[in-house]
Amino acid sequence: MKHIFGVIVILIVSVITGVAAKAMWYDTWSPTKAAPPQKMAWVKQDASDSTTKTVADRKQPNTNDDASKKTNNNDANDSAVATDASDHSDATVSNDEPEFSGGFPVAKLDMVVDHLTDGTAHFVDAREEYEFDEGHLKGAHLLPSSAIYENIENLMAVGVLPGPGKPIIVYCGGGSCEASHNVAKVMAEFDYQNIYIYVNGWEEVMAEPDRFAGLTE
Amino acid sequence: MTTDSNTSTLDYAAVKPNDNGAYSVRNILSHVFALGVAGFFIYAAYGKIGPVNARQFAVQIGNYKIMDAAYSNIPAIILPFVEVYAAIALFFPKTRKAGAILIAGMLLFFICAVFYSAIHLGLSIDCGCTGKGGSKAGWGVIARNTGLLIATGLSVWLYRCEPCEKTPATA
Repeated sequence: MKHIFGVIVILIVSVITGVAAKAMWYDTWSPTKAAPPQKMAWVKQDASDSTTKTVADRKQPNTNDDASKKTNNNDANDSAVATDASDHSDATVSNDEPEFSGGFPVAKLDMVVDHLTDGTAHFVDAREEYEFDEGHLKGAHLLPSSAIYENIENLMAVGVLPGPGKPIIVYCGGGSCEASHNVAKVMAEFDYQNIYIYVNGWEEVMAEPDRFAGLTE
Repeated sequence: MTTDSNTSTLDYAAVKPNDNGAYSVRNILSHVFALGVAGFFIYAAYGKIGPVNARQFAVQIGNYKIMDAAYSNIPAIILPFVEVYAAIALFFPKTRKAGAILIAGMLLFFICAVFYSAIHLGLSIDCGCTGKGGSKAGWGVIARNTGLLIATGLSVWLYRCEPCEKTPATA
């Protein structure tokens, strides 16, 4: 019985320490020196939302999503987005409207191939290093979702800088592409803009060898 | 060591190990296992504590898809401290069982989580065991955690509270 009491004491002390650390330490962190401290919220609004949304959905009053605000200024490539809506699960999206996934615009196959061919976008691979080593899009930068914070400076070192600029297309293995959403959210914290998610990711690259011929390495 | 009858409370000479002194060996092994497991857990927690590390750990927890990603901050903030305190408790003999209960519970949970996400769902994710990337979740992690679980059990099972078994010192 005294061991159970010990377990309970340890759990209570851990919770108290964790809450204190969050309030007095974690919440004082800011992604850049210029940015204000960023609270580590207990519950992130929209954080679990990895489903595809329409523009109309996005304009509904979920306005506290910083990542959404920061990606609102995507202008030059809107026409290239959602050009292949027919193969996407959200049937309500018309070809004229960009799709959004987890607050970020979705990059489709044509857009990805065009940017890869022309070299007009930065590509960020959100998969793990061993997957990256097996194959990746040409010129893609590795930023695994398991080590985003410790590697994001490497991204800056190779010239992928925060702020407006070339579009940044984040991709992962496919499926729900949770890893690329996580990477995109952290990049948005660091004031990166023009971020797109290539939701179909590497799965589609492998399924379309003709389209990606010479565009992988 | 003394058999002096005037010696009070803890009279180690009165401890009754078996004929070949196996209690001592058991206890040494118990401490070694406890130190190993506790050291690993403190090392693992170190990479998860701090403003950036906690945020990264929250992402890693979210990748497992065993809970709503919106709530992954809660374990990301609290779990590293449970690991630290449980490891400290495991190290000291008096609190070893309480620490072992917590550590065994966490290890069982981690094994189930890795099995569900990496094996059952087939997700290609990082283990997040030490808060740093580079360790793929899979059978290797399950094997390591099983080894740690066995070591934790041995640290409790091998330990004998020698002073507790002292016989009353008599003249």
